[in-house]
Amino acid sequence: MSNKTPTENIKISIQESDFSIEKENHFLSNQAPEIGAVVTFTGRVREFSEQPDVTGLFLEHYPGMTEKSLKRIIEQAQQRWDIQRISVIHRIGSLAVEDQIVFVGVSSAHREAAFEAARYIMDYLKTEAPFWKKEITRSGEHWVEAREKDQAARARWSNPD
Amino acid sequence: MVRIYFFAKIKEELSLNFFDLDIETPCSVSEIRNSLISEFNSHKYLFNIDYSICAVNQELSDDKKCVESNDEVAFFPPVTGG
Repeated sequence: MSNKTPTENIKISIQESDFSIEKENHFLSNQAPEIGAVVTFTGRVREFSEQPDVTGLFLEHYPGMTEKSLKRIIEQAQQRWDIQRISVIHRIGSLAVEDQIVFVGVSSAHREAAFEAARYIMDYLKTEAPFWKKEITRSGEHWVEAREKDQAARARWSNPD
Repeated sequence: MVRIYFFAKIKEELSLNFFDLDIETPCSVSEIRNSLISEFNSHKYLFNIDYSICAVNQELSDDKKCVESNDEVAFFPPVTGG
């Protein structure tokens, strides 16, 4: 077992500043010989979204509710899979194309649990955590619309194979 | 009276971070929704049940949820993080 307590195993951060994937990898696996797998996902601002000329994003969130919502998603993942450490970072404020926006990292003894839990956390984050993106394009700004395919990605977890 | 917080497009369209709604409590989310529709009639689509989501005390809540006067209520569009 990990020598950390359950709360020390979870890291949730909502921040304006960038994050270091290397640092998160360290948090997910340092001094833990029982950990055999670390899965990480990093989301970035891409150029082509709803419109072809995106130059940046503005990220808004609901302080307080965001942290609560992420905590609940992580706890659900912990109940479902045998995972060791979890780190979720979401940036807010103004971001440019190619910036990192979101990070989800999960470590566990074996890869299946880490892969699945990371995907589960990301799918729920996209459909439940109160964040909103506004796209800045050369021709103006607009709030991004929610997508059906994100709902479908989440729905998959309620009917496990 | 219930204080209603707004986020993202709703906040921007109304130019309001929050609004103190004059309503008898306890009441339902559905009653709050209807009061907001009459209060902000020119922007009523923002409070359409197909458009906005309500959170009571930072928990996603359906329209039957009962609201007390000191509850924290928020209305926002479907989330688009990640």
